[in-house]
Amino acid sequence: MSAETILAAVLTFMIWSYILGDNPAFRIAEHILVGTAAGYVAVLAWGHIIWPALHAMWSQPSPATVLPFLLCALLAARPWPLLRPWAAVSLAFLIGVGSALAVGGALFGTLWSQVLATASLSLNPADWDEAQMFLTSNAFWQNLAIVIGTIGTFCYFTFRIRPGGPLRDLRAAFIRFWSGVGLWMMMITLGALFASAAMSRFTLLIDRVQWLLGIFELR
Amino acid sequence: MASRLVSVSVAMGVGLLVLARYFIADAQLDAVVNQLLSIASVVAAFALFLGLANLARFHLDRVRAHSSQRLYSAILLAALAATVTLGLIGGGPNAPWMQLVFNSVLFPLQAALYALLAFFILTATYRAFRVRNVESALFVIFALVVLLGQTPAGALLWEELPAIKDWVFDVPVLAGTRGILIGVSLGTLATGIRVLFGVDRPYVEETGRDTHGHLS
Repeated sequence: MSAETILAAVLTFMIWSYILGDNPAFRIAEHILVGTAAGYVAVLAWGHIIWPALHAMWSQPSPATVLPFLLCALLAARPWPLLRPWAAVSLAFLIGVGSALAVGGALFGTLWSQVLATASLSLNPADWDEAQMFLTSNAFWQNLAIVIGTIGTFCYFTFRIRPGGPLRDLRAAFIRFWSGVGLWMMMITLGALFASAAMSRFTLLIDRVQWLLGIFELR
Repeated sequence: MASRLVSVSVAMGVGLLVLARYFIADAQLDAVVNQLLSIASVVAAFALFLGLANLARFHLDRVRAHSSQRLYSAILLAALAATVTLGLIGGGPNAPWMQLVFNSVLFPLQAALYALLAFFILTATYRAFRVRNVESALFVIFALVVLLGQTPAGALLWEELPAIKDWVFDVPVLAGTRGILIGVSLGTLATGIRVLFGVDRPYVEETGRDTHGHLS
């Protein structure tokens, strides 16, 4: 058995010692994890982003290659009160780019695709391959359940809005009905997702136990 | 005042330019936006280093102050220093030494920590599986269907169970997840647009906020 394998097994047992309660072995392993993960991310960021950018600045000095480091310098100047307001320029740059990516991603990556997928569900028997009446067709009921469930779950998030105007009672009843449907659909979804999350943890636990049994030749 | 004006202009200008690429197909615009994204990745990586410096300073202070936690802080600093030294001297993130750190330290620790959650999820399951009303009954029934449907024991109990589990994921879970995703994306859109049009300015310190120049 190699030293690396022994180290990995010892660290695994140190983490699992938490089953007996908080103890020094777990806390040591926890701090090793934080330190190593932070160092690993630093090495990745240096090797893949900072170093190539520094190399580009030295080999081809231009406003485009110098600007990132000017923004970095402003960010690093944040502790000095005189320069602190200008450090906001770097943050503004990051937040501006991040917000635009988030808006674009939400609009075209999630909202558009999800609405389009829901809207393209057909309730028309002519669109299905099954030679059945629409009320006895699986596709009809499945598509109807998906449409109702999606609208209901979406309405669940708006049921706190207090309706106003002449049709407020009608609107309130409408939202109450759909949010009720949405709550049921959310409970089903959360139940299934909770079970999936539990299964993934159990699968990983079994994998680690099998690995330990394998290295100690107990399998 | 001038710095605030510059910050708001930078956030709006850069943000709208990046957003424009989603709507306008233009090679020149693509080149400019790619340049902006590469600058942002360098600044974000540098911000990560500032965060690491803050982490190191916090734990150095604990070691210096002879805190009761100083042993753990010293271990964290040693692990951080060793990983960074191995990575920088050993030849970068793809060097054999870094692979060794990943395979022998990071991966076993993360996998063990994730697997440890299995024990705690058991107690969470016990608490969650108390039926009090219709909603909790739905939660329990569908969680049990998925749990049993994913195991060979479930198929032995009732051979239709795996097919029912697949239907649960294909219909109600799809609908629920889709509704949640649409709600989340609308929220993201609203927040992002407020920042892009300068209504929300999280990067500018408003009057009355703490102006001490600490890293933390």
